[in-house]
Amino acid sequence: MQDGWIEMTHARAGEVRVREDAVIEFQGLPGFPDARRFALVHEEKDDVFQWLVCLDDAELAFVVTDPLLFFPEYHPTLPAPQLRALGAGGREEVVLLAIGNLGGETPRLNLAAPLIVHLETRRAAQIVLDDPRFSIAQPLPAPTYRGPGPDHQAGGPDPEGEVADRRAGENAEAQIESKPQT
Amino acid sequence: VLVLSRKNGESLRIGSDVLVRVLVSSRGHVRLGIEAPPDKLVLREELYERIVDANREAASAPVAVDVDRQEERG
Repeated sequence: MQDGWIEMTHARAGEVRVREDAVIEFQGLPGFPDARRFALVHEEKDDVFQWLVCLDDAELAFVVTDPLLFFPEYHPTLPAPQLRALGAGGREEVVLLAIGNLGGETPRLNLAAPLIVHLETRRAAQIVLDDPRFSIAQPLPAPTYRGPGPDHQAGGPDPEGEVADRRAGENAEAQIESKPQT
Repeated sequence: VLVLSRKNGESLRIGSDVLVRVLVSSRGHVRLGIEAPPDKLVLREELYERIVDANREAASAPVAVDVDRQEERG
């Protein structure tokens, strides 16, 4: 193993190789209180979905995505205390991700409990919005995409995500009213 | 389970950094005020359980969405 790199064989994500400085630190997630060190991995650079792989547990990984690719109107207010807890001075310092569940008939995203990742400190948390507009299992607008590896196949999404964005906008209006709260 | 009696306006402390105060209680309904550090998740238990279930399900769900089949059906 090279210095500065973490390598593992992961039950869900396959062969994983990440730089140590790319590790993301959670203080556990609901249901997984001991899960601390994670990394984002993807097969292709423009994959819509990525693996959020737990480096402490070779069987634990989530499929995550940028929720704005599917729901351009999704602009939840992020609680300032929780931003500060990660060391973030404001919303623009964090990346927002949503956990996907691509099993079953309808692929869906958890918009009620997104993940926030502070880019500078690499600290992250799952926050709970407790807002009836955001569903814990929001169905993805069709067409949907293949998940990330190990059985990833290239050629799924259109690179700009235009189709998904447009349809997401139409479908999502009833559920997600656009304006960020101020 | 530890059982404590508290009157309106009284509080209890969990560790050094969590304070739970009974603001109003009447007829089986209690309003609580909670002071806790921001890294402590404070949620209604029902909602917490739903997040736990969603996370566990997402962590075990298969990932390969068959695009062709989806489109055929749609």
